[in-house]
Amino acid sequence: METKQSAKARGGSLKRGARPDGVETSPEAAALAEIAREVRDDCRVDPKAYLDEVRVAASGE
Amino acid sequence: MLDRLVGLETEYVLRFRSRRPGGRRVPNGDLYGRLVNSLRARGPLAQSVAGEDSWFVANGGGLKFERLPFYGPLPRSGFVEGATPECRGPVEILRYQRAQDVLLSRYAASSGGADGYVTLLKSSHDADGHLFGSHENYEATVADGPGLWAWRAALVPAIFVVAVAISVGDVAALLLGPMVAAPVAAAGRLFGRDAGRTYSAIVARLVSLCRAPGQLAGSAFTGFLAFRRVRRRLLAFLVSRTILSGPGMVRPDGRFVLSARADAVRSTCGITAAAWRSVFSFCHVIKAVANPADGGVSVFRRRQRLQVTIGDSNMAQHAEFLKVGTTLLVLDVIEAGGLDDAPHLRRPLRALRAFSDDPDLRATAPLADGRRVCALDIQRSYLDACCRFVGRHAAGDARAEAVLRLWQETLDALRRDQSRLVGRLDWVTKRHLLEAAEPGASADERRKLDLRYHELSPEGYYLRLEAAGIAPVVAEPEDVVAAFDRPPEGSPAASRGRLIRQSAESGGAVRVGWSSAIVTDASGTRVVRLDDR
Repeated sequence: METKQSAKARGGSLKRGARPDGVETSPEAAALAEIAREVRDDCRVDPKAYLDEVRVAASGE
Repeated sequence: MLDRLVGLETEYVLRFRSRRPGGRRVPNGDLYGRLVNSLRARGPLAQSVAGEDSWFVANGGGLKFERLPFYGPLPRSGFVEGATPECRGPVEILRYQRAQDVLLSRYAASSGGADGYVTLLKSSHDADGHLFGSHENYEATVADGPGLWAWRAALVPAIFVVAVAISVGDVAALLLGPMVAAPVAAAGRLFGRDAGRTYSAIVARLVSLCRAPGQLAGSAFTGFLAFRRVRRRLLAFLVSRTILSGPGMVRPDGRFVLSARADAVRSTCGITAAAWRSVFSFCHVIKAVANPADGGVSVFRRRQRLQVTIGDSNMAQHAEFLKVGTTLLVLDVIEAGGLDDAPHLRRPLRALRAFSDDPDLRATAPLADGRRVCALDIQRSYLDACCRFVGRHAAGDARAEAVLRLWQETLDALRRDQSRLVGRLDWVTKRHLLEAAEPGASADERRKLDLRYHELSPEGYYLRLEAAGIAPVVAEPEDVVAAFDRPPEGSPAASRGRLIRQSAESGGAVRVGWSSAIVTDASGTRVVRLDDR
């Protein structure tokens, strides 16, 4: 069973849907923690190249 | 209630990645051309009366490629703008906004072809800090009684002066741009600076400077005569609404703020949006002069378009529903006289920046009477006024009560436990993801997260949350698909969409605008007004 502390240790979060005692998590909170982990890993993949691809030469109107 | 016409304009950032290492970047204008060709192959499309790069789709919504002539030499310049058809109510507008997001992102993805991968970002900024937006258009009363006659009498001479001043400024910027920016950019390249970015930054300042006289004259005119009553009562609401609709942004200095646009807003009223951000924009008044056949009459009407340009794009449907739903409700109550005691901020633009800069929502700003209030206090006072009004005059109105309920729940959660709003408010969700990526995330990694959150692709971070069921959906998927082609009933979009379909079926020609269309068929050419209600 996953605890708030172990979730934090791997960079996740159990805030949403967690019981007040912080011991158990809902499927929704587990899915959120999973996506947060994937996002963290994806951000580490060549961020400079990504930023270069998202440059427009001027602001909008 | 919530029944006035409303439409959203959204500026999308084009992301391009070449298929080959070091491959050339296809100019944004070419990508847009391919996007239009793909859409045309899919279904009826009609050219706009406004220009070669503007089109309307069968549901009555529009799209165009926006690029000021000053930035012509830069292949990365220009972006796609989508405009929903005119809708009624927050659920309907959300349905058409999502339909637009899906259609444009789907066909943008195919526009890269053999050259590269293209993705749209529904973001208020790019990696260089350029700003984009989601402008809201609400039908409202411009003035009543003598004020209305003063507006009508002043309109032609005032707009003539403003248009001349802006045109002179634009000619000056067009002449000076290459003379000043090109040599500086070339010199900068010797020191390792990106020539395109230097050129763009110099031109932006030049345009802002050259347009300043026309901008100031236009701001004074519209500020004095247009929507005065509505604007005075709406302003504090819009400034504090950032806590609901802000997308969140990692600033260049690393700080997290609620709104990308808050720092850039320079005035309450503005007449041109380029290089001059305002809370309310009256660009359409200038455009009506430039193109009197489409909108020339509408600027004289008592009921016309109030354009709110303080907003950011939203990925979260919950946030977008609240942004539009609460604004529609507040406008209803203001026009019915139920918000004559609305809060007045002493320095609204400074308050906007203070609220945006504080994700803990503790920042306060002074009211005209000297009391200091936070954004939550202001939102709560508007909510209370709307609750009283609905209870007295519209009890049982299910749509208004749904907005009130969601507004109240969201404000309660913001005060007590923001984590309940992950997946519901963009800035709360993005902040959560940023915190989960800490510690050790570099500045570039944080900025990538900030931007990729807005990507309209399966890899986009928000859409991953939505696919996992973490972010609630307001617009049902089957309604979104139906909105691809079917215009909303009871709005000018219905007759616009009908004309586009009829023209495609009969082989006749039609050029369409927001107020009128020019139809050419066997019986000749005629102008049709689009005023279905």
